[in-house]
Amino acid sequence: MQPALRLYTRLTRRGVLLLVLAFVVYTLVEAVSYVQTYPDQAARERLSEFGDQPAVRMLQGIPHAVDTIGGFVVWDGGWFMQAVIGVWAILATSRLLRGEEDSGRGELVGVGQLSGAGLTRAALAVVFAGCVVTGIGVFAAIAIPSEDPLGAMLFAAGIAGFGVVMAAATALACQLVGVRRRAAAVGAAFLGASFVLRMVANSGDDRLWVSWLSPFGWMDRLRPFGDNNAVVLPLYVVTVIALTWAALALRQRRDLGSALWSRESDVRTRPLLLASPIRFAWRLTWGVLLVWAVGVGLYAFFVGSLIKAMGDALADDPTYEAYLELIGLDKQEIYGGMVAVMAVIIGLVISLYAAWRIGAARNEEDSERVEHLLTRPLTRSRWLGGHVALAVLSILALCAVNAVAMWFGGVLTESPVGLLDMVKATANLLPVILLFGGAAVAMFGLVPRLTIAVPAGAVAVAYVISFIGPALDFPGWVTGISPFYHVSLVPVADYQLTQGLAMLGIAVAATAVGWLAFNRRDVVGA
Amino acid sequence: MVDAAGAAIRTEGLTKHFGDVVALDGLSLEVQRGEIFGFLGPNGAGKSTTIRLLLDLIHPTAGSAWIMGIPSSDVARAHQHVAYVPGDVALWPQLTGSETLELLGNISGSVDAAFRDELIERFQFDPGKRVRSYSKGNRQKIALVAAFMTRPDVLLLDEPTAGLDPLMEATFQDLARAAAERGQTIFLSSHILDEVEDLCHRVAMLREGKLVEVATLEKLKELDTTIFDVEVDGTYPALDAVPGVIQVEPNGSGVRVHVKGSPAPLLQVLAPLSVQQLRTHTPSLEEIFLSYY
Repeated sequence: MQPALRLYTRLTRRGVLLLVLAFVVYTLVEAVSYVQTYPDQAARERLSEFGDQPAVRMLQGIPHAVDTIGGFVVWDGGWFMQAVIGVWAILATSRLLRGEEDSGRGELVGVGQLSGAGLTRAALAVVFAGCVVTGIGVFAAIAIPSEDPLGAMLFAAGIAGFGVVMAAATALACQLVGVRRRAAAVGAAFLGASFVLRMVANSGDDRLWVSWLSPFGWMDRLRPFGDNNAVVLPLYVVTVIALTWAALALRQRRDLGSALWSRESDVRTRPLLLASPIRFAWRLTWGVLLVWAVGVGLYAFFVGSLIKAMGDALADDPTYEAYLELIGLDKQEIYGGMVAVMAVIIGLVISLYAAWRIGAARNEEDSERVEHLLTRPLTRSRWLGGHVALAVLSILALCAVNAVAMWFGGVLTESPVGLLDMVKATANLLPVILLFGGAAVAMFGLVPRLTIAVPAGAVAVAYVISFIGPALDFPGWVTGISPFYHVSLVPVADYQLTQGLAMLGIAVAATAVGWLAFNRRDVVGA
Repeated sequence: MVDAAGAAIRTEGLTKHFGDVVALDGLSLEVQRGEIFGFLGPNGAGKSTTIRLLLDLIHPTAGSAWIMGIPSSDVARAHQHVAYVPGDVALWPQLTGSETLELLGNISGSVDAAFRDELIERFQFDPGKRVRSYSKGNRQKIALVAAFMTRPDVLLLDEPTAGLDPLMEATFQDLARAAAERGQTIFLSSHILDEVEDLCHRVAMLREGKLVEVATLEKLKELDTTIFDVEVDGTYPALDAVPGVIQVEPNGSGVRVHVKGSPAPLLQVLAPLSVQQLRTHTPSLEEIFLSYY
């Protein structure tokens, strides 16, 4: 088992490191923002009134112990952290169990002394360990500010436990369906279903029992920093053991590279979108774009439906006046202000998409598939130009989805913000998104290995700087590095045209640098 | 404009460094139209580097290359005349075989559809499956069909038959010969020396990035050694020192002697001995190849 463990650890350690880092920073940012935004006990206690707001309850959960730092972090960020570690566990597990088989590399490992079930056990051990390490990071980040080690432990256990459950469920999916993409989709469906179940549970007091059925909802049962119900923990353990046992049993019943539900017999040829390299890139990307659009749309919809409730709560509360002043808002503008702030978060998400989209071009090169195109009468400029055009179009599409979905959520809850405000707020972030997209193209030309890593890391760092920079009184030039710092609160404030144009200019320049560098460098495969 | 009389492939001082490593060192070559040109050398000798330079996938550190008289860096024009088959064919796993051929044909421009169907038939290839379920040999067949179906002037083949069975190997050789007869040029990098010996008009040998020999096969065999298999009664004299002898090795109960140039000195040494058996043959390409490395 040792060599397989070592191999799988190598394949996952970078992702785990990033995950731990992101969770520690995120937890600390949540804690700092809590102290900043809710400085006194009265404001903190008023937070629990959100338990009466259906939209808030369904998305974030019922607030427990939100008058403590720890309880607030669980309520405000816990659901998001669960979603992120769940997605990571699904991707990592499906990669180790299915991706390795799809690529044929699994055969090299499979001829070793370990059986298929042994390899599955090794892969799961590594992913489980990654979740536990992430949990330890969360514990370390929250234990001191919250001054409640037991609560911190339960919160960390809930985060890690959810990741482990998702990993085990995905391991089971990997036995049932072939091809990594489908296995990951089944895992994602499981995650989505358990999120929806939790929403159902939180939609009314008489439906709370439903959360026992949803791994996502078990955190609401644990109530870290509140009741600290450690008795819920065995639920995670039993579920993981059952799922893992089923996955291992099924693994023994199938051959390497096969699946119990195989669909390879009903292949039909669909000669769509094969006429040109650009149309072909579109064929390869539309499925993933659809997933992003659904994700962005759902998130924007929920956020939109929260605007009214959160805005009312803020407007009624005198203790927020200081905070509103700090971010430069009038009381009357509170709803528009919330739209502006939410648009920044969506802008961050779409910036990550931009980096990923250019990374998809790099993936074509890395896998050497691009050589079939570039050895035909197709110039590198045209090929890369196609991917850049595709990225810009996809970004515009996601922005449109965001504006419409946020508006729709607002309409259903009768919030006083119109579609035009949503469009303006989303457009406000466009220069930032394109800037990070341009950075990805530049990296693709200059250091192709880092096409995704550098811009995605820059997005995270820039966001954190723009958030904690003003709060911690960083020098202006440090905070000024962050593109997020240079967007105003549209639709409440006016566009900052100069900054916007400057960012667009940099985006174009970075794209040109990437294009030039790609034309000058060698095509390099894996 | 295509130079009607010029070489199909020409390189001048083509050089490629990867950091400190010299992958290709001043390669100057001309391959004529209608020629099947074999490109030999051990792993890492620079064969793939040369082909990737010709395709402009990588840029030369020094020197230049032309395809049909067009600079290799003018991709839009040069690639009108080229097709390429890599040794390890990576394709889009979610496409079917026929979707892949459709895509590659569209990007190439002109496809001889009837010939494509004939190629699919001759390679006994089932294009209706997804690429992810094809074996290495079948992926190679896709690349070969895609390369031949556009009837390109120049075929750059980098170990194209590594995954094919002997029957398909024969089909490939037939296609290559027919293409050459039509005036198409084939640049074949290969490890399979029998294939090169059967197919190629001329052969180049590469060692550590340097060209060590370019010649027709007949010339190579003439130029090189004659091999004597000798068996004598009693003890063998020291043959290493005989003029012209370049190598002596045990061979069954006798010895095998490689002689360069005239065999007269060897025969003089052997004459007084009681020779039981004396056989002679010209070396195979494999023996020539091994003598270079």
